[in-house]
Amino acid sequence: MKKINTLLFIATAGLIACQPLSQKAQSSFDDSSVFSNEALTRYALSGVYMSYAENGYGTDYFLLYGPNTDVEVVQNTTDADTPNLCRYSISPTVAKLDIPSTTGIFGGNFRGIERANIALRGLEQYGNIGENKNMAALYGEALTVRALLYTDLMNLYGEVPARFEPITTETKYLPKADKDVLYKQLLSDLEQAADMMDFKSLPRTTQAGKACALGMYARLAMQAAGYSLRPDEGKVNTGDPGTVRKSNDPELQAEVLYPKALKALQQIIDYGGFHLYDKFEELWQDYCNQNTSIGKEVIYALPVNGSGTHLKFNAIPDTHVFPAQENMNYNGVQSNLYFRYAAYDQRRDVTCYPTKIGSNGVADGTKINPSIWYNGKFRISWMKSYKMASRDAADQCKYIYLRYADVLLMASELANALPESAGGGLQKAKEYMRPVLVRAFQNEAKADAYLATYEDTESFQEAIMEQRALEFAGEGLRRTDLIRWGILKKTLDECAQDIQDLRNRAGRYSGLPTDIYWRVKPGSEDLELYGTTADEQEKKTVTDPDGGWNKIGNFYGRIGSYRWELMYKGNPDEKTWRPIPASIITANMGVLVNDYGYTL
Amino acid sequence: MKQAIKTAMVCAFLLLLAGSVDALAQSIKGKVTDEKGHALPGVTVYFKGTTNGVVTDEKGAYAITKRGGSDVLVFSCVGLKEQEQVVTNRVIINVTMQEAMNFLDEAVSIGYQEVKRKDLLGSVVSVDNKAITSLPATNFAEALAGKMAGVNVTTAEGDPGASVSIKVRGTASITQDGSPLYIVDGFPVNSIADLSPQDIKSVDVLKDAFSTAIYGSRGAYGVVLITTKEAARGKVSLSYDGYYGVKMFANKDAVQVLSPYEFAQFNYEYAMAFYRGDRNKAQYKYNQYFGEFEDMALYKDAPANDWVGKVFDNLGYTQNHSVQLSGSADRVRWNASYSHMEEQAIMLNSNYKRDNLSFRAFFTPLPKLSFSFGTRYSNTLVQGAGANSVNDKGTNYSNGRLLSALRYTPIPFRYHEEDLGDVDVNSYFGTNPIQDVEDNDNRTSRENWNINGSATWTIIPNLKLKVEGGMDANTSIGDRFYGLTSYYTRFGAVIPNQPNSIHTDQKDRTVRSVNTLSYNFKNLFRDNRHVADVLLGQEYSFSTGNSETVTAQGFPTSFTSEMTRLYRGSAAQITSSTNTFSENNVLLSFFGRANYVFDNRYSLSAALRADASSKFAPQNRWGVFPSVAASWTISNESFMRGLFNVDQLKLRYSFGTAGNNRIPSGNIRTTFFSQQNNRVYEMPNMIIPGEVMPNPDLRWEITYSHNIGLDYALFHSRLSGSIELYNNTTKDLLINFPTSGTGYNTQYRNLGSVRNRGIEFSTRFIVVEKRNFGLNVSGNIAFNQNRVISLGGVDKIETNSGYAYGLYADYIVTEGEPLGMMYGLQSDGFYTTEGFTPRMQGNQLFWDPDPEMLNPEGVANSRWFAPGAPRFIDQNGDNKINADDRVKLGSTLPIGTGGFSLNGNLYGVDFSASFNFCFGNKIYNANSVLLTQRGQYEYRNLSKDAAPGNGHAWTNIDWNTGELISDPELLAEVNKDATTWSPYTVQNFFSDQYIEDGSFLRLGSLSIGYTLPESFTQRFHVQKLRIYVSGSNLFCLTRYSGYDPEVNCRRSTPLTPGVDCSAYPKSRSYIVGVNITL
Repeated sequence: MKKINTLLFIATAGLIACQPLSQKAQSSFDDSSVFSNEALTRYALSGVYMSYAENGYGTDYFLLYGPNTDVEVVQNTTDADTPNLCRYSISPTVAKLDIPSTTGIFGGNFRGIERANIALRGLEQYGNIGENKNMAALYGEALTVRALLYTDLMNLYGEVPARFEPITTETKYLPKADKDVLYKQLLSDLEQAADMMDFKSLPRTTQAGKACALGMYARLAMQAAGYSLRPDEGKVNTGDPGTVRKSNDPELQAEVLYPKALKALQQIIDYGGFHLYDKFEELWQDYCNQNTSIGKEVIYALPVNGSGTHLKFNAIPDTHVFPAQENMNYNGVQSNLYFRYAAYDQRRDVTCYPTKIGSNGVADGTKINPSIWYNGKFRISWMKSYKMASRDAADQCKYIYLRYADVLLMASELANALPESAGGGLQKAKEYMRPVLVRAFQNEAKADAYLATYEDTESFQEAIMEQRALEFAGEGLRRTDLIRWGILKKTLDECAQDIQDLRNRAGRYSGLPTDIYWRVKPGSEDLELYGTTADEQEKKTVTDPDGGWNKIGNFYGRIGSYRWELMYKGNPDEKTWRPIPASIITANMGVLVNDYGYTL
Repeated sequence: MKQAIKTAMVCAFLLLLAGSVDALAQSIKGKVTDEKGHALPGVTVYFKGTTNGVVTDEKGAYAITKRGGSDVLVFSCVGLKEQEQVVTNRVIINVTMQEAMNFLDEAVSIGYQEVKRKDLLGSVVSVDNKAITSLPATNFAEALAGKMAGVNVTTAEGDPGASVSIKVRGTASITQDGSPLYIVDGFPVNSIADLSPQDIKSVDVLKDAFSTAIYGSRGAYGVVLITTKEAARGKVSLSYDGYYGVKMFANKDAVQVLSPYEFAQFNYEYAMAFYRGDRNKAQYKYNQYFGEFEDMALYKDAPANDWVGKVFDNLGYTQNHSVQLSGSADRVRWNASYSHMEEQAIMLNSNYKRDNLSFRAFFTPLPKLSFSFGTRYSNTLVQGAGANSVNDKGTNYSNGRLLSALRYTPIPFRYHEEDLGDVDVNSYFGTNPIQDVEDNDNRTSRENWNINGSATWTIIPNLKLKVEGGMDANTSIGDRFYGLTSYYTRFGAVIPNQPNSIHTDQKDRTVRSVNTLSYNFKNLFRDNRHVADVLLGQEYSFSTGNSETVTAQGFPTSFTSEMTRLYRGSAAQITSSTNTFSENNVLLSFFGRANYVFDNRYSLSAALRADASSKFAPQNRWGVFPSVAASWTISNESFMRGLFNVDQLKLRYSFGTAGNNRIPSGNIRTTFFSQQNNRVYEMPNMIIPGEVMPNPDLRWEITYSHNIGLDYALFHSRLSGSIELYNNTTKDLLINFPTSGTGYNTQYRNLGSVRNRGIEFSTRFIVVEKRNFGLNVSGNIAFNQNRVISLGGVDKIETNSGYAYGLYADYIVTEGEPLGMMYGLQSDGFYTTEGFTPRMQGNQLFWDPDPEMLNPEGVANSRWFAPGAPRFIDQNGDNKINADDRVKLGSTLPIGTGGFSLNGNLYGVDFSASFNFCFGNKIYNANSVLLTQRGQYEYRNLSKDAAPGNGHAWTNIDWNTGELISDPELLAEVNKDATTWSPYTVQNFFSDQYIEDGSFLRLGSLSIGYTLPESFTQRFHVQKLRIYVSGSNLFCLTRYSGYDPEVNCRRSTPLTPGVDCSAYPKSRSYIVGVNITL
């Protein structure tokens, strides 16, 4: 009996050792602990922003989103995958983009979206957002970043799956959702987000605050109400070739969205916390010095350290800083852009840079090539506080996503389209645009004279379209604009013709002299060009009294035919969007299908 | 009768002889029988220490004459225990000999029970200590290669901390580690790398699911049981084993790079081709580093820097000292051991040190109660980051110290002396290989503690209760250093151009308790032919861990690896810091087994184990794994008695299921971890979910295994062995499946099925076993066929190893194919002048291809598409060479593996040689991909195959004038002996010529020892003194063109096996050692 007792004792002891199969880690962070705490929730949101720090942005979005438009162009002239991507010709298997992991932009942004979804669900359950204003602001911020990540995905791929809840077994694979569904969700999210935040809650432009939510509301509203290539109604995710059209959804019409969008922008303007730089150049000098601090023009800049390669690959090649690296430039501006600006427009010489920086740190006129113009907004020579030690190092510049000039020009466009009763009208539209022009021309009279030439809404819309090109060239906004106006292909065709005209000095360029002259602008490291307008017909020499002019014979005639021939390879109105990468299509088990005639 | 006469004659002769020589001659005779009374012929009978001996006849009789000297008569025979009899004045000495307690008779603890190896019903292979200590390797498992049928042991590289992979009967897991469960003295452990070989008594590998089923979960890929030495009964004994030896590069000449002249030639050709013959422009690329073309001949006399030699061909040394002390008192037996192992490897800055301590004790205070206690401690230090980039952070696939040494310029470049300003010389020219080693350093220090104890109580006769408990605790601290030239510093770091370090601190702990109750029915049966026993048990194990990773950046540029480790706290910035608490991994199990044997002829056994794992959600938590086995010992049937010299013939069959839950914990729901990541501007602190999507539906992976075995022993067990047939099907495989585009990279899923089936033969033949001369041969060979039966609706799983640009994936898993299947282009030699028309444009030469010629878009060189370009077969006829033209190129899995060994002794001299082989596997020679194509790098060296002209590679240069040849006829004439394409390619391609046969036969170890006569050593109170010399990896016969065919460099995922890219070269070693027992 004693033995049996002992046996029972040991058996019991053994079973007591078998605690329940507890799964928690020693200090496991679960939803309830993270999202009931403000600091931990802030850390969880940092994880959402992490998408921007991945290669998807560093080597893809910053380089390949933007060109080709009538203002931006990819410099590489070969018939290779990467430049063809900018020419609306891309296969789903292009190795550079076919990144299955979360370091690619598709996977990476959906990772950010999933993290935002987890945060939103957590905050709803544990965040006490009804009463705690700080937690509510975090909720608003999460909604805004999610919308931002979605915006970039939609600008690249057209339609993407609608993931607005954390993934479950049932939603592991999702087909692409209709743009209407996505836009309605994002617009209502941004509306709600703006309500939950206040202007002063965020100290940085690298976080998506109230102004960002409001500005993005307007930008998305204009995109939602505008044109775009989309599959026929109900045909999303079926392999439909699609057509360029507007939404049929009554909620997504301009008359519904525009008044709300204008009100949103008006809120930013009324807030008064943002203003234009006095000089256009200063904005970009600050950008190159990683200075995008709050309270100036920048509303939202991408929070990237380390892998931010926007500047260096879009910048003027600088043999002074990087002797062995002449060819690091990916994108520049179109050959005719310089000639679209008025000679007195300050933005011209900031934006259009005709040559490389030589090894002495001065623009090298001998390398002038009329086919290749660099984007002068991005200059390594402007970097002062931080020097890139090698071409492989990160530039650490924060990509400017939304700035106050955009708010003004968007407001101008919205007002122009709206009746006075809705806060709009031509006069109002001109008022919104005026500060942008005054800064560009550095002259109020010239700005007013410019505005006075437009007497009706239709022609002023043309002016807005042109001003957006001149103001934002090289900033990656043009493609989105052209798409929503429904004139992507038309504009590219016109631009191709215009460059041919420039080459032949025909059309509006008739009367230009054959040769141009350059010299280093006295007291500067930049070049001065002469012979770029019909008025400048004088012949200059090195020994001129005003000094140091060098001639480039037959300048315009040397524009390469590739500048118009390679404007696009695929039809931009049919291949507006990228295909979803092959490996991602494969991994989604046939649920995700590419539209727009892409095979696979 | 004849024999008797012969014997009589011999006796008479001996008597005569004795009579004449020694008056004290004494005649002795007798009969030798076995335990059952049968006569034993062939037994050697001799006087100890003399040459005076005879052999018993057919009736077991012998007669021998004593002629002074020794008074001890020795009886010896293969398979029987040697016996000694003191003669004194005896005339008739009859002897009954017992079967030797050989290896198969030893009791080992398999499946919670002590069993004799020969009674096993499942499929088990075993080796003893001798086999393990024959090879002076840091990881004893290396010595197991080729020793056990169906157990494939491969060493991925030649570094002292190399990862050794053990695969039992092929591989079933697609994405997970398919290594077996390791159990040391009953305790499951994660790694066996840090055990001291001198401490190991035996290794048993359980191959079929019946044998492993009792281990339930985790046993699906086989179980490796390691039994450490325990105290022998007897007085206190002290022994010392030690060796010292040298190590050297084993096959240094396998890969040859271009000589300085050829290197200059290639760079000239490249520059000219790049600028299409425009010499003014070509000067930009060539002349500034190499000088004038006309002076190229000067390079013929230039001495080449042998970088591979400088970095890898150093004389290493290895030494090991091991002391064992054991003893027993009345009720206590104990042993203690200490080992120190040290190795300075052949590569610069690469070394290894380990100290092991162990102690075991058995205490039997009462006849019915016994206790055991054991503890092991090891401390290992591995220095060096290895030769390839598999463990480098944020790296490029082609980095690696060996590649760096192979590809670095053999001559000093002008830039070495001159300041090139801000030219990033590392990107441009590569890194000086010695600097590269210094700038990629690693120091890993591991500490393992294992403590366990048990109590066994015989409650009533034949009913035993055993209570075991134990703890296993591991700490691993890694300090990885990235110097100025390292890829990570240049491309991945937030603070560029300053040294970085990554510090990892991983702690794991497992606590385990087992209770078993066993009963033997021996008193319940009246008929003692019935033998039965039953076992019931319960096990609980709990594991937890924590890992911390700290990335420190911005160290002063003067900091070395050691300084960053010591002064990490003063780094300019901690850029990233991650702290992860792994979810607790809990396992609760109940198991039972019943064995029944009738008359030593028929055996039946059944086992059942139920496991609950916390890795699965409650509804999927329990897995139940039943198994049965039966055997028929034919040789014990009456009709077999005395037939064919058959000693043993046993037929076995088993069927069983085994589970697997070997995925990380915490995958059934979202959990967060904390990280600091400075790449996100001003918001570096984050709490984020992992990159793996949770899956609440996860369940057990199960292997169904059938095994038929035949064991035989013939001619007094002179010939013995076994044949086994098996069929293992693994279902519901736990696969880390890609979930691209969802926001997670992968998700663990139960998906698909893989089958391994095969046949194994192992045999041992004792050629001679005489008193002073013995020789035996043993060998084994195993054939395994691997097939993916199903991928659960998924089309294929594709992986890109990184050497095949534009080809999308070079490893593809599909249904109906084996794992490790590689896909690539099929080479079609190279383009000749045919189809090309030369055209001069200005001073540039263009070769216009005919319109119908294949467009090498995306794969070959589109910039310089000219005669000499590589050509591939356009499989789908679309006139393009791209991913659609991939074909199956073969699998890295071998058809067969095995080994054989020779052991012998002659007087005091013993020798052994052990070979292992492998055949039918393919190797992905990525070194060759990078050494026969320029790819995207300039000024890097290539292999000899790429030498322009001279019967090697195609050349487009007229080496007399330095101009590109534009006359097609002349070009064809110049290249009539060309064997390969012009290596000027713009990106790397992967084709069938980089797939090589990896079959090999290796002499793993060869040793010769001499044991000094006991009579001599005992004068110094030494029981045994053996000295030996041994060589390892003495040769490796193979057709593989790389350094070594046993290689696996892309180990970050099991989906890309068999890639040879910058592998640490294997060494050859020679040692001198001594074994002393006091």
